[in-house]
Amino acid sequence: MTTMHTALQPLEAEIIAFEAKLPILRQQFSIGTYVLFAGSRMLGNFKTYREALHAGYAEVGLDPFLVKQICREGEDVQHVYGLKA
Amino acid sequence: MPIVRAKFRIGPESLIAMQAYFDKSLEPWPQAVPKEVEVAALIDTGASVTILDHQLIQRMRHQPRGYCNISGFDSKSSDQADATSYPNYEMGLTLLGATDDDCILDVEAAQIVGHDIPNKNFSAIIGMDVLAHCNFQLDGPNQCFDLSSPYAKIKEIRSVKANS
Repeated sequence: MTTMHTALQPLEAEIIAFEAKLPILRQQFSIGTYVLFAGSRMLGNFKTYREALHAGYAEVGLDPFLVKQICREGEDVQHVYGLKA
Repeated sequence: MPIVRAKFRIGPESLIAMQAYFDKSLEPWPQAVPKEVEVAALIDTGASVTILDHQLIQRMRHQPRGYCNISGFDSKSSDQADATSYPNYEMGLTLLGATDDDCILDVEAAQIVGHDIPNKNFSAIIGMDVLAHCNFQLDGPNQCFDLSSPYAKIKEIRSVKANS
């Protein structure tokens, strides 16, 4: 089970909404598309990271929002091997 | 250890938004809040993402705008089911060469992971998301390495490659 870093608590609603909608988003948009969530609401889809961030700041300012790329199923985990940080 | 100097800065979109906040509040940017930090960074081909010490990011008052599921931290597990979600932040970064004028690679915007790095030798880890744009040559017997890039500047690093 995935656990969450405490710094992500302000984005908890956005993360839950994104992960719930991810299977549908994979069907609606191409892999690599950036999506923008504020609260449980999806505000848009974008081709680049900066476009998505720009829209996020324009919509909600410095309040929490999430920008996340749509990834292939099973490819959403990164690896950092052997670091005792 | 292959260590380079690197500058990490608040990414362009976040910087504009934060500056607008201070302008609206008629406050100057606080002196105690850095927009950029220069750190020693470990070149780590075993890391798929680039990481900056979370305490440094918090000093910048930067807010996470994404997250990244990571397994294998602390050598605990490489099992995807044991992954932990870490915050990521819009940041620019510059890999510096041997002299102050020597820039190996400049990235305008990347999704940098925040994680505590309690190591006295380095405060950041340069992972394969950035190294994919570099040439890295290790000379083990002479205990040296060469890091270069065919690109001077990259606008954006994507963590997921788009469908072609």
